[in-house]
Amino acid sequence: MKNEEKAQDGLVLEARNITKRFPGVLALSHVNFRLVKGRVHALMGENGAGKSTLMKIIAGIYQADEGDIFLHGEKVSFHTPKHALSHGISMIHQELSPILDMTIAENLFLGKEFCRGKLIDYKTMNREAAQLLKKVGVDLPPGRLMKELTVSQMQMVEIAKALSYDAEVIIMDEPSATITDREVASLFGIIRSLKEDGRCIVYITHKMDEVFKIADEITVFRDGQYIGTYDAGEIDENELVVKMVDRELTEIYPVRSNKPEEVVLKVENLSQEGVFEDISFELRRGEILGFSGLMGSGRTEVMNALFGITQPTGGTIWVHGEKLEKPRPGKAISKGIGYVTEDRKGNGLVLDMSVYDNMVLPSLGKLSNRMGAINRRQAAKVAEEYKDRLNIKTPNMQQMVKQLSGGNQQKIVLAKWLLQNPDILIFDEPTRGIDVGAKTEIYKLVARLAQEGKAIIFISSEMPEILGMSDRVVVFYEGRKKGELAREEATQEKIMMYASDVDEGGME
Amino acid sequence: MKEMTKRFDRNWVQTYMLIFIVIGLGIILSFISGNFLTGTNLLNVLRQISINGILAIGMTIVCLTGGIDLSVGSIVAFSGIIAAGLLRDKEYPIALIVLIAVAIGGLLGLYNGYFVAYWNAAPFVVTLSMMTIARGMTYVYSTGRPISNLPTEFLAIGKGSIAGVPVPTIILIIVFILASVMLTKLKFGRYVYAVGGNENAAMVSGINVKRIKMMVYVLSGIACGIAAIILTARVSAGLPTAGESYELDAIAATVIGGTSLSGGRGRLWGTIVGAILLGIVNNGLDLMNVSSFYQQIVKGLIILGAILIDSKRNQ
Amino acid sequence: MKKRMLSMLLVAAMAASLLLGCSSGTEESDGKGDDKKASKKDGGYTIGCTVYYMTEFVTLMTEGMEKKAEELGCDLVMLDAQQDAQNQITQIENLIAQKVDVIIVAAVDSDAILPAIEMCDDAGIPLVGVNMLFNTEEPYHYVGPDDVLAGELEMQNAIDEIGGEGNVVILEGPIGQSAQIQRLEGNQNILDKYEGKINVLADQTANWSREEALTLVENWLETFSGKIDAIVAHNDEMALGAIQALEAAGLTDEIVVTGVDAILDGCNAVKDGTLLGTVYQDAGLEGSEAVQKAYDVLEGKVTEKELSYIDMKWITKDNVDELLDTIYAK
Repeated sequence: MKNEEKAQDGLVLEARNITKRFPGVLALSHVNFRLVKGRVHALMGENGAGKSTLMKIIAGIYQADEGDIFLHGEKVSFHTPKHALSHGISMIHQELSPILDMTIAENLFLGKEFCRGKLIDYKTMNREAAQLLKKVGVDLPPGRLMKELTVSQMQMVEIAKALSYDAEVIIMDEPSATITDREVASLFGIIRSLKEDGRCIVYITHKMDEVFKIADEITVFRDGQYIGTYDAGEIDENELVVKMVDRELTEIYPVRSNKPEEVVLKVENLSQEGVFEDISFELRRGEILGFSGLMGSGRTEVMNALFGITQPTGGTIWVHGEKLEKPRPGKAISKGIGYVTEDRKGNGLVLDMSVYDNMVLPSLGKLSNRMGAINRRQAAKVAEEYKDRLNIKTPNMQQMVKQLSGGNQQKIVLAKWLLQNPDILIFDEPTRGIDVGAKTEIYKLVARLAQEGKAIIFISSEMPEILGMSDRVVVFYEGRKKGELAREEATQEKIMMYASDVDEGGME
Repeated sequence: MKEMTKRFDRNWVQTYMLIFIVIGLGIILSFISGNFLTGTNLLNVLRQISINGILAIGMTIVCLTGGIDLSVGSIVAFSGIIAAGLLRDKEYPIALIVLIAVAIGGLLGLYNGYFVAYWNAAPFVVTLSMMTIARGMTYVYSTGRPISNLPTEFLAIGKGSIAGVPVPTIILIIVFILASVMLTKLKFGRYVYAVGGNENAAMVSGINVKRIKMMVYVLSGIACGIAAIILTARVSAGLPTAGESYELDAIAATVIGGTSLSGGRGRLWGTIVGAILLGIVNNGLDLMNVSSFYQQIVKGLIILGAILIDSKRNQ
Repeated sequence: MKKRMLSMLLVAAMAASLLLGCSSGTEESDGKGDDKKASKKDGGYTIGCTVYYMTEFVTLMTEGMEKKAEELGCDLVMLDAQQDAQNQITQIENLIAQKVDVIIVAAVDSDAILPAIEMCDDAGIPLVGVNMLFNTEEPYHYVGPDDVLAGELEMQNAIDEIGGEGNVVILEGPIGQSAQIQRLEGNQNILDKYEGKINVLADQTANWSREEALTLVENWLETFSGKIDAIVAHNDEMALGAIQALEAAGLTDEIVVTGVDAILDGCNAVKDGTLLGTVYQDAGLEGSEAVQKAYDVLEGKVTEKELSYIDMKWITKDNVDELLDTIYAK
């Protein structure tokens, strides 16, 4: 608002009065948005605020119900992503969809392959791909298959792909959610050079520190409404949060008094060939054990083996002093372990099922008689109880979970496990991709569970979260336990040092 | 609030669209042919859809897990020919033979399920293999000849009726009720939907995914066994060529009924209405003296229409 | 949302209009049949018919039926069971529901058709079999080819050609079909007369199929190298498959082939001299006789249930042109 005048000359894209409805939801209500040449524009807001919706309208994935988009002063309307691309608008999506059995180069140039006559010119294609990869600072051979990459490497390839279109407007929808800090640094380098090139960048993120590091201006949405646009230098973190959530952010991480009790889970020399090695740790009642490390450092893999999703090749697991042989999810559940998995959509929820069905799914064994008939009244009662306890917002219990927001979906995953009343709870990135409000609720809940005497493993990539929540922190690096720090001695620097296997001097 | 009612209305219309189409078609047909809306003809339709209906129920359960069963036609033939052989020899009581035929269907389904679940083999390929194996075994057992001279008490299953309702229809209704209870009231049913909707989530929830995947093929096989009994009784012979291409009709009814071939989404009553729709179309076109060549085109268009409605619904 | 509803309605309308379109289309092409009950009052009957499959032969047969029905002022409802015995039963149920006056059936399977007899009895509708016999001891109305005679004709002529002595192989129809059973019976009647002189090296089914016969004969030529004198096929399709195998092996002049059906390709092969001869069963006549019989049953002219056969004619190079100039003239 304040910078309207000075921005006027370099105005590239303007969205005016955009409204978009989805079944039962008003996703965007008369919002405005302006993009100026050579500036990085951060788009902030809680999940469900309408950020992604607006970007998808600009990129031609959705069509607006009302309102207009102007590109260089001319009214445009994109019907397909390809149409938008042809006008110089490209988008890096939050959810990746690489073709796993194709090479990096093939993925990069999918749909615009280099050809000599009718034949694909692999030589040129690989050369061009190598250049692009170099540009984003990824050291990978272009002929490698996509499926051999880590999630963060795939994200970098996706970024390279968006750059390959040489677009004027580049929309980045949470590009940093799955990449390592080192890659974030190189991403920021790329963004700065694009900026110097005179490109417009839209940067969507939930991470406050990133916003202030990279953005020139910040637009805030709340509940599908346009709240305002601010110069990054004119607003501080606290003000921004208030604009986003419409309430003061008090204490984010709850204070707990921790009294160590008996060991309920003991893992000794747990190994899985080629994945992780010699992992040992103990977990006590009433304790929150933080698992830190980069993506792909083996944290999730250890938990998968512990829960029996994959089979460990060596080592022992003791639950309540009893040896857990040949773990299987069913067995782990019956031993009182609950696992809130990292990937909600991948293995946490059945999106096509109702809130109720998802919540009671692992408990159906207990909720049905010997013939396998479900005691529906009891099931509905407990589901309703946990819906209230976790403050899950849904029109009714028969609502499909895919129609709910990320935060509510995550709460349903939690509810599904709490319903079992487990003694040991594993949380893998429980706050990824959910908004600040929901995050705080989840922190409070985890803390309360620990207070009630549950033993908790808390995996997170976000440093403040690990430091704020954990009683002890275990740090992973490339499939090994690199260190263990008590709450008092844990600092961001120490964890980073273990997690990236570098000296303090080598850190950025 | 207004938004909510609007959405409710539309969902309602979409959900019951199929029933409206069936009713509409019935009205059109009764105008065209005076013979359509007669008691005997409607009972005929119910009798005629019983075999496809039962097969489609099995198929729906398989499809809910994201699988497919191409072997149903051949399993029908094999169960049927064994039943006919045993019936001709008259060594065992009829009730036992019926049970044997159903068990054989289940056993062949177990083969499908075992390889799909425990070897992670593609359902399309495994059941394709069963399709030709069962057909081959049928020819071996029958030496390619039909087996006839079956006892009249057995044939009553095909043409008899109880209180005016044909026996095959009664069997269909019983199978439908049992399957519905299984899918909605038993945890097994929830597990079937969960496995089809998101296999990983189901596994993490402690569900024995492999066992569920195997069981659905066994159930489909059992449905084949039941259908085989009806078919054998209806044509009063075990035929080596019986049931050819029945898998396609079963898949058609399933898809028309709104079950997604990618799993996790679908409903049993939709399948039955789908089978009724196909039955009415066949019957109506027969009554109108339309060549079977056109009938196939119509069937294809109905399947296409069903898919279009479904993809619109999921947009 | 409006658009979505609209497209769904469109689909529904499309399906419905297609139904209507199809029905009106056939009614127009029939030229009549608007109201079956009304035409009955004029003295005509409605004849329902279901055939096993629309092969070239069956198509000719149904043409004969249509012509005859028109001549007699009757309506004909023609259905195709597509080789599915269960489907044929369904169609007969539908014909009964439609209250046709008489049903003519070319059975998919001689056994599986038996329930239809009872159903028609219960409904009081006479049933006339055509082309395929029913596997029952009870008498029934039937018009069909004299397949025993056909089997005799093709075997006798083959044996005459090779001089009353030598080795033959037989390509049979699908095991259990009435045509296969009877043609084989005819073959055997002749073979019995030549016991000791004629040797049957092999007999197997090629399921009426040209491709299957080709493979089978290729294998036989390998197995009985130089020994086969004649190939007796239960239909022309299989005979043509055999001829293809012989041509590939350069044995066309060495081995005699006979067939049954006198289909167009068969007649051409007879004219070329690659096929010694074939048995002509007048499909049109068969259809027309079946309709005549159905009519006579309704009129009370035929009371006794019995099998009537239509004549079979041995076709050779000398008389093949008669066929080629008449029924195959188009």
